[in-house]
Amino acid sequence: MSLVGSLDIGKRAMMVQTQALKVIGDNISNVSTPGYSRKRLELKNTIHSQGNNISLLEVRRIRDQFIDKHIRKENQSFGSWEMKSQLYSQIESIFLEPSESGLKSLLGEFWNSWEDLANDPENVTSRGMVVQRAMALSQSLNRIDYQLNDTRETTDGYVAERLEQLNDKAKQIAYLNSQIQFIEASGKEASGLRDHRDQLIDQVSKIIHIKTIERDNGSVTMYIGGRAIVEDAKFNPLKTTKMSIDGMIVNNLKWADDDGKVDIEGGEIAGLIEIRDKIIPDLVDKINRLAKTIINSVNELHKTGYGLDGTTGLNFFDGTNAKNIKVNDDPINGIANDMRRIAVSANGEAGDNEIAIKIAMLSNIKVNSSGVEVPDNVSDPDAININSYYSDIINSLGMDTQHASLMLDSSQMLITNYEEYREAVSGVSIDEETAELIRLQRAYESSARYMSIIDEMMQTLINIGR
Amino acid sequence: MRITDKIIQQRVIAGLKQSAQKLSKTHNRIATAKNLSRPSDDPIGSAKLMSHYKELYKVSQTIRNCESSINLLYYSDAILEKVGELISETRNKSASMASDTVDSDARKTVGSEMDIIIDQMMHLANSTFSGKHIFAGHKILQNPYTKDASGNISYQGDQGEIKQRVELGNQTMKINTIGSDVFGQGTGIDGIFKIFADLKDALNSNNVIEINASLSLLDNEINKIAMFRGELGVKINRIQASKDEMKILEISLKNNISKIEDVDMAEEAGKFITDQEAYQAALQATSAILKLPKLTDYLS
Repeated sequence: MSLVGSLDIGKRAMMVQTQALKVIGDNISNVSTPGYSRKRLELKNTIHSQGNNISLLEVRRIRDQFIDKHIRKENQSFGSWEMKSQLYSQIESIFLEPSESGLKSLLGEFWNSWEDLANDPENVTSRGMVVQRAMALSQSLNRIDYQLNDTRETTDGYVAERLEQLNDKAKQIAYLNSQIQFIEASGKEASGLRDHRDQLIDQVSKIIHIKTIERDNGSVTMYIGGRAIVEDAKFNPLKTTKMSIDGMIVNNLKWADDDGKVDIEGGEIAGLIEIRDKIIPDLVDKINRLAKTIINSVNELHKTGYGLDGTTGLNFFDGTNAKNIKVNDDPINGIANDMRRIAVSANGEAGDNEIAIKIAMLSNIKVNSSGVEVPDNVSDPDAININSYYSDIINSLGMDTQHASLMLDSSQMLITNYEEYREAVSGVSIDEETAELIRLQRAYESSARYMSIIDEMMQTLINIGR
Repeated sequence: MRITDKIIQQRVIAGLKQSAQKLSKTHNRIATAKNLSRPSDDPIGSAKLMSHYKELYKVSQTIRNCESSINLLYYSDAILEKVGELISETRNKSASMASDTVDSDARKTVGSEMDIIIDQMMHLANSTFSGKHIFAGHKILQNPYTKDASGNISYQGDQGEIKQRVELGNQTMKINTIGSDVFGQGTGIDGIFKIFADLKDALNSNNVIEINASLSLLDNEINKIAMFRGELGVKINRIQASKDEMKILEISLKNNISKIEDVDMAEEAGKFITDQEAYQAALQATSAILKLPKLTDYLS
């Protein structure tokens, strides 16, 4: 081999080492960039016909695809539980339990006010208390109904907002697909773009359940429920259409091109839709049923009784559900405007308290939705015990809320573990990079030294002739 | 495992977050003095709480019902006691008038006293308790006994029973005493007013046989009043017993509620200090770890 050839080896070695230094510089400067995967310059000895040569292979992104899959799979259940846990906790606080303002207390005070009235049927103050308690009870039912529906509307707003994010991110992924294909086809590396794309896919996986497949050309195809939302550079958007579910116009997800149904299996959108279309309507139903049973059962008894002024056949409550329940305030025959009309007496005499006692006892018995008592030994799926029906609502809500929050915690823990593992594989360690830096510095110095020795040898050779 | 700077940082932050959360939860429990601020804090405890409260409302109301009923029963008993005394007095006075040693004038004097006695009796029969006529059945707002122009007294009330729930469950107890059962329908029909009127006539007309007949009728009345009082006594005892039982139940319910709901301050204060120390330790560790030198620090 000629000395000139040796000089060439030294030059190539120094160029490769400069390249490697640049990669280390990249790593160090991105130590805290989210989603950044550390890079390595893979060096390799290749045997040329003239002898041993160092040649550059490629800049490689250190990334474990397997962990990405795990994180994305867990992300969708995390997203779903996060939404459910947040909304459950909001819904739970609507009921104000356990507190003096909760329905539990208001119901207890309502029934008791009837018994106080039974103790003093002719007393105007006792009558006033019954009306006050009844108003507090019906206003609380009105408020719960309003706030439940309000939360449902907010939830629907979140669905539309998440869909927008999803479309936006999917569009970016499609664009990145085309960029990565283009750059890599020309033999350059696109690891920054790949990092960005991986990050976007992570984010999408939290919003909705997706499946991704990486193609040989470097692009990623992303599926939602078996249909591709992103394929190569093509982005197939979703849209919302208005649709009435359980008495509310809500945003329904569709494929924009052919109005096809979107199969949603997980992610924030799935959690939001479950709360919006199942959990809240279910609660509203239950509260309405409770209100209806209270209205009908109290009215049923009240109509048979007589007020102090001899009126009879009057309804105590107006309305049919939690939204419109109120104390009868008819200008001519209202209870709220003339408490003497409260029917305590079964026979019209002032001292009779039979109706008041019977109304107070409604708290202990089973009544069907038209307000008629159902004996204990008769099974009627329509019949409820007003007090325990309400307790059951609160108990199961409390359990569901706790369950959602526990599931969220465990999902969070899994993701933290996976992310830590991913960081261990792909994260930048300053110490490691520094050590590598020193090694490369020394290698560079040695290469330079090697060149200066070759140079000296050539000098010697040139000087032989003098 | 490769440990990178970010892993250390993330772990440190997660640890701090955890300690801070724990500290804040304990602090919240101390600040509100409640273990349970929402059902999901402890669904099982909350379910128990709901049913305890439900029962507590019932129990407290039962106690109020008992108190209100007992007051009425005591008052009725006190009136009946006076009624009994008045009848006994009248009986004794009349008994002395039945002997052969008294003359018709003395009998006439007592006979004229009978008007006052009858008025007293009517006053007792028209007794009110917090605005309600207690012997009027359901017609509590009006006098059960009224006197017409010719001095005849008649019952204006009805047979209406006033009931109240004085025990848990749906059983009710009759707590009023019907006037016509005690005093009868009135002059010329039956009851004490008829006996008094007849007695008055007998005294005025100096009819010893009739006086003697009235005496045995008065004895019956005295027994009847004693019987009514006996019934009231039994009811008072039963309601009192129920009330005592309710009071005990109320205390134990309140205890149970407190056990679930209320914070054990001593315990929480201890926890708070421990949590605080844990948080401080976490902070110290954090600052120490974040200050750890890097390899670069040792390279010149």
